[in-house]
This record gives sequence, C-alpha cells and structure tokens, in this order.
Amino acid sequence: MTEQLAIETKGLGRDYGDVTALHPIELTVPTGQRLALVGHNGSGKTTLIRLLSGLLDPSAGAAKVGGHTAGSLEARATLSYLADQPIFYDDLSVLEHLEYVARLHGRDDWSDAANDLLERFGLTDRAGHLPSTFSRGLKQKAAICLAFVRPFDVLVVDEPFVGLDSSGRDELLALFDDAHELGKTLLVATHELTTVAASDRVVALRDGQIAYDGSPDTDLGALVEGG
Amino acid sequence: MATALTALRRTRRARRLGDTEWFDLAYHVYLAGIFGGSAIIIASDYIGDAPLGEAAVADAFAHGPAVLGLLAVLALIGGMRSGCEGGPVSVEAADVVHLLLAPISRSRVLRQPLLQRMRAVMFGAVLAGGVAGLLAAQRLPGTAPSWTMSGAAFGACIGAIFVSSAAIAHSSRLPGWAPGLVAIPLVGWQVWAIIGGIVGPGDSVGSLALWGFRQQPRDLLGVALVVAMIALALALAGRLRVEHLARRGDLVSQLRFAVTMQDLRTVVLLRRQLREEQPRSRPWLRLPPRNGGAGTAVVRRSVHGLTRIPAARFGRMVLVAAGAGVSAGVAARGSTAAVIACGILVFVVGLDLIEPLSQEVDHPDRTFALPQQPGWLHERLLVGPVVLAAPIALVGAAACAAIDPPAAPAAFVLAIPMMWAGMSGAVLNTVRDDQDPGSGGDGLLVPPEFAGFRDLMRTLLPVVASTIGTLAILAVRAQPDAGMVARCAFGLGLYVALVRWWVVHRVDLRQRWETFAAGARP
Repeated sequence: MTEQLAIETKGLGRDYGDVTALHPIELTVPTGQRLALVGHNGSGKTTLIRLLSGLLDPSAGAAKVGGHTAGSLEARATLSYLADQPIFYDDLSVLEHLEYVARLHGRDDWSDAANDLLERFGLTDRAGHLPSTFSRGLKQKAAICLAFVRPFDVLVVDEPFVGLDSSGRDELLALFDDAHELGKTLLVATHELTTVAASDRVVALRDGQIAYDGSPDTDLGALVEGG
Repeated sequence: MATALTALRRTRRARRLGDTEWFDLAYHVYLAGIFGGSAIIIASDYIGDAPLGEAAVADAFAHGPAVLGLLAVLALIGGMRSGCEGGPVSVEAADVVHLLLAPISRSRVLRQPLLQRMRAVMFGAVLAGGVAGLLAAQRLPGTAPSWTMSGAAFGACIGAIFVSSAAIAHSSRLPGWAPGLVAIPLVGWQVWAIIGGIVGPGDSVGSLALWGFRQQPRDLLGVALVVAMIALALALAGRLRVEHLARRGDLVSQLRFAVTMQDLRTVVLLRRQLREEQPRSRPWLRLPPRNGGAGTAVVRRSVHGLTRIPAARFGRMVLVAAGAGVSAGVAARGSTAAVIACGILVFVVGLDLIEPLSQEVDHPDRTFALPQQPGWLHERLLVGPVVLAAPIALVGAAACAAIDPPAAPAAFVLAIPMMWAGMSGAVLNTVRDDQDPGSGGDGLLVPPEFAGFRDLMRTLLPVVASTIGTLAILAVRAQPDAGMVARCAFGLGLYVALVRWWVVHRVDLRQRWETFAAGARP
C-alpha cells in the first residue's frame, strides 16, 4: 500500500527575473508528518512555502497538496497558511475576522473554537478590537488564531515565533502538538531549535537547494544557521 | 461559504458608507467641478463655434472613424500591456490572504472587483467622451445631445476595451512581449487606414463616435465585439493570478494614497513597482574601483545608479523624449498649447533621469548623517543625469525636426539646454521632499486651512518650472533667427544655473527662514 502524501513537489522551482530563489526540488511529506524547514535568510524557505500555499506560481515543476494542485480550490480547503507577516482587514475586529475566515472555510460551529483560541492567547478582552492597530506580537497571536480556527489537514507556517512572548510561544507549540496528535501534517519554517528538535524530520535549504533532509538528530545549530 | 462572503461585503460596505467624510467628498466634487468646468470653457473657446464648411465636414466623416479608431487600438494594446504587468484588478492584501486562499470560487471573488474596475474606467471614459461630443457639436452638424451621447458611447467602448483586454491578457497569461508584437501590425494597419483610406481594425468603434450625426448599422459590429470582450473577461476572472494580485494589493493602496497627496515622485516609484521594474542586477557598464575624494564618490554613485537603469525605462525615456519633441514641433508650427504637453513630458523624463538624486532623498536618515551639506551632495548626484540627458534630448530634437523641418537647427541647438531646464522641475519636485528627520519645518507659517492649496501648488509648481524652459519654442517661433536661438540658449543656461544655486543653498536658506520665523513668533 502506498503512503498517502500531504505534500509532493516535482521539480518545483522559482525564479525572480534572473535570480533563482528555488532550484527545482523534489520533496514529499507523508500525511501526519511534522517537518521543520530551516535555512539561512534568502535560502528559499518563504518562496517554497508561498508556492505550496498557491500565492506564487512556479517557474518550473509543480506542487501538490493533499493530492491536489497547489492553489486549487481543493488544495486551499486542505492547507492552512500562516504567513510571516500578519495581514488583516482594517475595518474588522479580531472576532469578526475569526467568524469570516471560519465561515469561508465552511465551519459553522466556529464560535467555541474561536473563543478557546482567543483565551489561549490572552485576546479575549481584545476580541472586539481592530487587529490592524495591534502591536507586532498581538498581531501575530491574532494571525495564529485565524490559522487554527479553520479546518485543515496541512498547516504551513512561516517564522511563527516572530514577536511572540513566552506564553504565546508555549501556546503555539501546544497547538502544534495538538494538531500533530490529530494526524495533521505540519510544515514549519523556523530558526527555533526547540521546534526543530520536536519535529519528525528536518529539511534544510541552502541557496534554493535542499542541503539536508533527514532526522533532527544532527547538528541543528549548523542547519538552522545554514552552516 | 458564499453566504459568508456576501455578508461580509455587505457589512463592510455599510461601514465604509458610515465612515465616509461627506464634507470632504463634497469639497472634492466642488474642486472637480471648478477645474473641470474651467477646462471645458477653455477648450470650448479654443475650438470655437463657427460651423465647419461642407468640405471640412466631409473630411471629418471620411477620416474620423480611422483617427478615433486609433484610440481603440491603443486602448487594446495599453490594456494588454497592463494585463501582462498584472492589471487591471487590485484587491486588498487581506483579501488575498483570507479570501483567495479560502476554498471558494475565485471567479465569484474576483468578478466583483473586475466589474468595479470596469465601471470606474468606463465612467471616466464616458465623461471624457461626452464632453468631447459636446464640444464637437459646436462645429459639426447635429444636435448637442446626440453628439454627447455618441461621444459617451464611444468613451464607454474605449474604457471597456482597455479593462477587458487587460483582464483577458492577465488571465490568459500572455508573455510580456506579446503586446509589443500585436502593437506593430495593429497600429501600422490603423495608421495606414488614416493615411491610405483603407478599413482599419478600430474603424467600427471609431465610427460610433460619429453617431451624433451619422448612424451606420455596421458600427454595431464593433459594439458587439466590445460586449464579447467584456463577457470573456468576466468569464476568465477566476484565472487572474493570485501572485500578481498579492503584489498589487498593497502597492495600489499606496499609489492611491500618493495620488491623493499629489505626490508625483511616489506615484512614479509605485508605478515602477507595479510593473515589477527592478534595477538591473548586471549594470550596463562597470566602473573600475577608484580612490578619490568624497565629491568623486558621489558623482560615481550617480553614474552607478544610472548604469542599472533597466532597458524598459531607457526605452520609455527615449519614447517620452520623442513625444516631447513632437509636441515641440507642433508648438513650433503654431499650436501654442503644445508647449504645455512638451513641458509635462520633459518633466516626466526628468523624474526618471534623476533617479540617483531621488534615491538619496528617499533615505533622509542617511543623507543627514553625512558630514556634508545636502545641497553639496545633491549637486554632485545630478552630474550623471545631466550627462545622460544630452543624448536623450537629441532624440527629442530629431522628433521635433521631423514634425517641423525648418526648425531643425534651432531644435538641435536648444534641445539639450531645454532638457536640462525641463529636468529642473523634476529636481525641484524631488528635493522639496528632502526633510531633515529632526526638523518639523514643513509648511512653516502655513495655516491648516491652506494645506490643500499648498499641496496643489507643490504639485503644480515643479511642472510649471519644467514648462518654463519650453517657452523658448514660442520665442524662436516668433523670431526664427540665429540671434534669438542664441539668446534662448543663454536664457536657459541662466535658468538652469539659478536652479542649481537653489539646490545647493536651499537647506541653508531654509534654516535661516526657520530662525527668522521662530524669532517672529510671540
């Protein structure tokens, strides 16, 4: 019996003009795996993540998410993307954002889940506030709530710990654990050694190419810093 | 899911309406009314109201469809170009992340912004067409309402062609070179239709503008094609590329803000970003490393910046300079108003040419951390642009000479000083943005009630400064001899020297003014 793949890339590459951000890569991530994506700045992590989420078109090859072409309607239903920069509507409160995103993804019983997430991140009192006016850390917490309030099978996260305080960081790690236990696939681009160490697998990118693909039982510091 | 989308859009629309500053809006309408009305009165006076003779009317009806058809062809190519660069739609950055990545039909999401864009562009084009029809009615047979209607219908078609072709080009992922490839035969064909009297591709749309007097059922073919283009564009809306939408979302809101603030420099910058116009990673030429004084370093920095200008921007500068030359030629042949077009075009070329200076002004923290006066720095940053302006000016001179051959010698003598004088407006526009981060001196002694007027002046004055140089065309037209050409060249030189003096000493002058103003306060 073949293993079901949550993510599959075939010769996936991306150029920006005459600069190659990601050389054609082959990457398969089985369902339920917890994968850490590491590499120095400019190594191609964000490009790969944006290609998987459908925000970028590949220059070469193709990517599949849950067996569907990245960016297709089915893939969008499968994959939840937490960007490195939180983006919100200027005129919607945190709670309105949560309702909107959850309902767009077909989740009608969103209220309890939303309140639970708000409580975990200490945002209950700010549920009616505009996230566009928040500090960087609070914005990041609100963005995390949005990524988790919707149903997903694959979670793709880009530098999620930026701006988070220690309690926010702990809650996020707990959410990762919960999702992993539920059999969700996680792909987390990070420089956080704890997250990398807790992963099932580490993929290191260097200059747009896979420099390491294996167990986290290695010199993580060198991988994370791109050594 | 679709219900959530509809509900959100309704809620947000209601909020936007609630947040609308109606007084502000009324003020804008009032300003638009005054300026628009004045422009119509001036144009009406310029066109006159004496009915055209029979031969002239026959000539207008014979060549009108082809000439106006050229507008349709240009709208098609311009639209395709916009589509290849990611236009015509832009959505909020939050819509990209939350809406376009949700499992909801993209056609459903994107059709509305596409329709909104189409509506806005068509509305502007209908207004322009209607006014043009109204003005045409003064001299052509037929009633004013019928000419206004036909002008408006023609304008609607032009607007629809632009947006539809942009959307179709975008969603069918045409490569960037495709509009150029299509432009050569189509424009050539249409120009041949104007000169040679054959039927051109834009004729049936162009002929629609003449329905104020003459109705030809075959013109409806053009309308049918436009309707088909709109339908196709809407059908393909779901195929608009998310990548382009994501990039444009943020840029377009900045662009709108810059337009609101009448910030021409930022508009140019953001337009470049929208077109994904990046400096060349490989310069056209590499200067060998050199030691030397600080002044040499600044001059070299300006040259380094220019060696990374992308080919597309060079091409654009040459084309706009040629356009300025054509306007100068038209002015030399008798159309005085063309000097304004020439001045504006030279101003636009200037904005592109002085990029090294603009980069410095965009980074004031760095400038004011240097142990030199900004004027000293800015003067040297203009050395490269001033040199590069010379060959570009000669392109304009050649275009002017082609339009008005007897003016060729004067054109070639005056082109370079006129280009430098034109650049002056761009320089003034850029350096006035240069503010010491530590000072709060902008708008000294100007009460808030006059802020709008001040902003308008700040926008217009640089363009006027560029246009001053083009007045030499009128002087030479009035007295076309070598003595006048020499006097104009000398006058332009003095003008450029005056602007240079201002650029070098403006910070010092401003500081003296601030000290004086502070002393005058109670």
